[in-house]
Amino acid sequence: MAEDIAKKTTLDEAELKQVAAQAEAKQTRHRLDEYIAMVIALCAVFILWLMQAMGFY
Amino acid sequence: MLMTRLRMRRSLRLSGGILSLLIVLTLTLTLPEHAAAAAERPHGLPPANDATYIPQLGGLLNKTLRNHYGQEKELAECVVLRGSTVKDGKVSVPAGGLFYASSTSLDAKPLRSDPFLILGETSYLLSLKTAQVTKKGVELKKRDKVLLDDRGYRLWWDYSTDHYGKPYGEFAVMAPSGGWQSELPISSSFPEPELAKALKVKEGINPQLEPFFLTSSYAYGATKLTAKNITHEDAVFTEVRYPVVKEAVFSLDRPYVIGIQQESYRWWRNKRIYAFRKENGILVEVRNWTGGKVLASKLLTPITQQEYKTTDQQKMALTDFDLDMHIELVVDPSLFKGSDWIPWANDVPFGWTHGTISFVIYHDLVKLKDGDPWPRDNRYIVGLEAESMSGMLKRVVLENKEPFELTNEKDSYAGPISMSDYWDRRYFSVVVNKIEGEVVKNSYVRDNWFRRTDNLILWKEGRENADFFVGMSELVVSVMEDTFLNRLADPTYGVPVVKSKFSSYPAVIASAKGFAPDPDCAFVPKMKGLTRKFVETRKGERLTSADAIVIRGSYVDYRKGKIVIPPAGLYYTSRLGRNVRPLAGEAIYILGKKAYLLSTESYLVVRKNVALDFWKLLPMGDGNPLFWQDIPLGDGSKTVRFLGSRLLWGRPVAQARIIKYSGNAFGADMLLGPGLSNYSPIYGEKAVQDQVYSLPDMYAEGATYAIPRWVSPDMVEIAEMGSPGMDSFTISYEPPQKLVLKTGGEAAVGKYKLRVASVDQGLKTVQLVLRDDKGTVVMEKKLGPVDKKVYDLLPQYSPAQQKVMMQYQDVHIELDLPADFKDGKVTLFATTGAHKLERDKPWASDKRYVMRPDVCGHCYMLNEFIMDNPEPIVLDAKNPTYTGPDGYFKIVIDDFDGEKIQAWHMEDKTGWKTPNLAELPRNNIDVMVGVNGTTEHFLRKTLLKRLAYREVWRLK
Amino acid sequence: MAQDVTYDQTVAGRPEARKPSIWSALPSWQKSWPGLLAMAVIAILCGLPGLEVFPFTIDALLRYFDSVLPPIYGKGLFVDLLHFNYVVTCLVAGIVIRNVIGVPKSWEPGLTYSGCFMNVGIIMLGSQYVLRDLVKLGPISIVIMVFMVFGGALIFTFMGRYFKMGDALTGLLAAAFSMCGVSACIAIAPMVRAKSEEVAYAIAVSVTFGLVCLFALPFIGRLLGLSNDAFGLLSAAGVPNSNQVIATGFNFSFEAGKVSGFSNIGRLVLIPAGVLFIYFMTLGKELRTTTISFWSVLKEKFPLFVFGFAFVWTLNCLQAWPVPASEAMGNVMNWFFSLCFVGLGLTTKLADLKKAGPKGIVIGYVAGSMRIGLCLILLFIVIKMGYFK
Repeated sequence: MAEDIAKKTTLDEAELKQVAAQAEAKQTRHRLDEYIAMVIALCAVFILWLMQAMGFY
Repeated sequence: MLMTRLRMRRSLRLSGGILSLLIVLTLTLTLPEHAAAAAERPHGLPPANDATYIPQLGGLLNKTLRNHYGQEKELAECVVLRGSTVKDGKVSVPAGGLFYASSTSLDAKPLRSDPFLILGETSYLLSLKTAQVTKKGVELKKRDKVLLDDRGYRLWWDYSTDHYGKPYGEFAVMAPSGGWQSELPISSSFPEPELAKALKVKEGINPQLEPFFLTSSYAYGATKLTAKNITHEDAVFTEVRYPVVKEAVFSLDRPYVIGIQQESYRWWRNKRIYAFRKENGILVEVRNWTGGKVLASKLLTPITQQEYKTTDQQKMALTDFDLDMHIELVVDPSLFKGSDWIPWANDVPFGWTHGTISFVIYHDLVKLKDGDPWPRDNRYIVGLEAESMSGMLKRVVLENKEPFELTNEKDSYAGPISMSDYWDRRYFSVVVNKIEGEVVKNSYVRDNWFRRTDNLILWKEGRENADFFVGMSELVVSVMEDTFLNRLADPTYGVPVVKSKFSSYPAVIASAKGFAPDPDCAFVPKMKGLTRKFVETRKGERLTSADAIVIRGSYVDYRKGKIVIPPAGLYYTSRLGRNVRPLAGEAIYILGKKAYLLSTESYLVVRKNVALDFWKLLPMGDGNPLFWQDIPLGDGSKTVRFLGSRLLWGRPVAQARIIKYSGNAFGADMLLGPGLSNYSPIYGEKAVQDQVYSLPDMYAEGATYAIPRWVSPDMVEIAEMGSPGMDSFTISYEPPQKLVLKTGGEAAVGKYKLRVASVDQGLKTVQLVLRDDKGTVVMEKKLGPVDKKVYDLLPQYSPAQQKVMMQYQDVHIELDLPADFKDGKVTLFATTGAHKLERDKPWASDKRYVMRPDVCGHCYMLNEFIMDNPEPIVLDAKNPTYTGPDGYFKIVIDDFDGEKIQAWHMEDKTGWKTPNLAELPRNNIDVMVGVNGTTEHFLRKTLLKRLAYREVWRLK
Repeated sequence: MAQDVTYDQTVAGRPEARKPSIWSALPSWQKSWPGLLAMAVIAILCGLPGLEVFPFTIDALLRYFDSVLPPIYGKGLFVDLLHFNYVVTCLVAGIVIRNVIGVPKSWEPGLTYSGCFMNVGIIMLGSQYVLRDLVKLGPISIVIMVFMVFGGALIFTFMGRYFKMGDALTGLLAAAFSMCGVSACIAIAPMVRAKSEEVAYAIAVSVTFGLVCLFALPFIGRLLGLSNDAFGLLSAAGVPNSNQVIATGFNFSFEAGKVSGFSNIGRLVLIPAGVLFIYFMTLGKELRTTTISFWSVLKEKFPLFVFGFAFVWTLNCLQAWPVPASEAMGNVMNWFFSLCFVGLGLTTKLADLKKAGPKGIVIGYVAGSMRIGLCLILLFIVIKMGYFK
């Protein structure tokens, strides 16, 4: 793979665009992961809080 | 060996040869204790002092199971090696040196499906043959463990002390495994407890009473020790009676319950079980598959909870070893729902249960006989040990029959073969190798799943024996009695700290008096600034004076972010190896200063007509105690606590205890089970039971007594009880000076002049006059007559003390005893600086602390001196430290997040710090620092857990 | 490594289409359940802490082996000495399944959720801290983290120049190593005008380096006798990927895991600043074609779930629940981390090690090790100066 990089010297605009799009997609996915994680984690915390309020702990 | 040693000593005393006495003394002293013990049979003896204790090995089980009445039984197994020696590259183990023991909490009785573990198999006790051994004329010496019979039972004289100059001792009957239940205080010199009934005392405070009660015949259910004569050195018992178990039948499979409509049958396996209703019971018949042939039959009556039925086992069950069946008639099988092993059961549909008779069928029967070989492996002998009070089964022991040797080549010895459902295999094996000359360097136990313990030789240099104790069994508590303190105080692994169990509420208590510290609290055996010194009395007795610090009942109030030590939660205690007595120059160290005890002021507190409610952990049920039902005695420094109760032949036996201010219990358990004297059940066959039971009608030990009016399983009404209390004691920090004076002789005592006015050698009296510097007589007192009557009551009896001492302000003068007034000379001890330390008064130089002298319940003497906090101590981020009285020690909270204490330590006055006492986060700062009688008592209570936890800490 | 992006790429790749809802970036439930289920099952089989209902786990098996084998200085081989805790067991199980048995294609979409579970774990990690922890870790750790992020970036730019690696790759590697691995790498890719091969290459180097760290660092830490706090900080500073950071920390000890999670958050917060720093450091003036607004970078790159962590942490500081409840939360947190570690293992291709090639090994590994060495020196200094324990 390292050789591939060395071979390619010219910057292909289309490829750059694709990388940018990929980066954006990944970024979006990251954000989504964060949102979902927040929802799951806060729900879990809330459930456990509820359980301790009910006297489980 | 022991006996020969005894005999040698005795013959020497007779001959009186001082030289030979010296030789033998050197011999006995140089002979290491375990080497001497190894030569004799190991039964009843503990493993060597340096034997390793390891609590866990996967294959040794610990289980809590219930019988069919829902009663919990804690079952535990252990493997013990004792009496082993290493010589010439060989490890020799005597017969009985290696044993497996399985025990139950309390006891196991027949006819109630009491569970038991037998080499890992859950089994049920079906029937039992018990007996009682009576030995006449047993003699022993102080600290001896003398053999009682050829099975290896022993009588142990553990401890002895004296009162009014007369001796008493504590004795225990030990089973061959080394297990014993209770130490029984016995003397032949004092009035019997029964005489306490004749006391005429009023309710409330009474002056000190003269009589000291102690029985010469201690009855503990099926165990009874009757002393003939106990002196300071020897004891002779007319009779020693203890229970034994001859035979036990177990079922190794879970029971099967079938409901049969009467006059009909149901199939069980390849047999038919018939039930016919007869006039006086139910006739059960076991027939073959077709019903054509009766294989066994018996008229049964139902098993119920009445204890007497265990004597009538033959009538209660059909047992046939050929058919491998044991059938009992049960009243209501729904009771079985309380058991862990819900038995296999079939039932009739739609609740048509009228006329249905329920049998419980056990199979997989095995009969074990005490002293016989283990059925699967004749290298091992079965030992059945009885519970001391009920005489029922306590323990099953399998011990090696023949001595064996292990070498580097042949390094393992297999344990007994288990009776498994699938594969009968050795239950464990002991491996010992790397034997180098006189030491062994590697030893471990492997279980039946090939799991092993760590190397049981914990030192690189190896050990001169291979002894060990593996398993979390109650047996360790009694077996390790001799060495537990050394083990727990061993500083090798630092101070073990247990992580707290956090709960969502603060465990608030209003006052901690009478409480023990958290059972999980850290124990710091040694803090530099604490005192532990020998104190020599005038008689040359060397006693240890030791102080300790205890924090108890502390908690974190997480809502406020504070650590709270409730009133009486922090105390400093100082005491002697025994009670501190006046008139002998005895002293204790108070905050590091030697304080000579001059006199005490104590009295008897009497309560009449009180009801004692059963103690339960109410209301939280989490082990956080609330002693709402304690009965305070007089000033409240002692309380009576009802700890537990049991039934002995249907008669409730209450176990109460006097709890001291420190949280320690006083004396032996108060066993209250009136009306059980030489009782033997009339039901059944004598050959089955063959035991006689007695219990004391009332309790009296020393000056403390309790006369019950009514005893029920959960309540005791006490007609009258009394125990000593103490208001103050007088000490001086200055050592008493010895004065030898003749008639007319004078000596300066502080700013006063003491003159001996007259000495009467015949009447044994002396007239003393004390003058101030102006020459005015400030006090005059006649000491004596110092006759036998006085000697008989000294040093404990207060009126007798007054006859030999004189006190004026800070001056204290006492006679040197024994006083013979030879040549008209009198020897006196005089001291100045005498001052009283009074109960519930603040400590003079540090008003934050209040003094609580504690009196001995036996003898009215000073037992320990306590100083505690009358107000709660609150520690938080702003106030992270608190100092002890006069800055003697310091509590420092290093790291507290409002809920968890992450780090805290204690410091002595020089700044020496303990390790972090919350290395694992804690929710309290309970701690025990230093070793004295008080902390030792708490340690003994939590011994098993602490010993086990040390192992966790070692591996950390 | 573009093929690893397993969600439907066509959506993002078609500029002419109507801008789709961002939720379409997630693989659908129908596609992802096999992977999720596989992760859960493997995690349970490995033995989750606090979940003792299922006894037949790899953890139990290892413990059994330990009790059969002779202990070494009183310690068991697997659990005590090789430290086979749930982190290692989950990871190794995942790696073994991926590289020996292979992973069915149907699992792939579900496995992409492992990053999400790590976020859940990090948020719940808030329940394990009190204010005291911040005070304890204190400014020193913040200083070390800042220093390591920017200093690390500097090391890489220097190395990149020295080996004549090209600006884009240098920037990518710098981002991957000094911040949070893959995500930082991807975040910076368009800014430094990187080619897709370069991105894949940088990712491969950083991921494999992290993998080596994951197993090697705890041993080094124990060898040097580092405290939990110091090791937590070291793992957060030295290991490239966030989930590897946390795995490394928990591999050392629970306490170290807590600290590394905490410090890692500091690093995540620094992403926007770090991205800009690397952008300006690596690219010559002439190449800075894209106009970059600081605020837009901050808005885009700032890890939002840090707020979730802060929220839970605040509640815990206010004692909104007692210790037993936070211990329960700790268990749940561990379960999510276990899922994440299984996912991490299942997506770890040992073939990537080969992919990275010799030059990558030289540059990435040497520079990465230099960073760790630097961090150790820093730690040594602050510990010796008494600022840190």
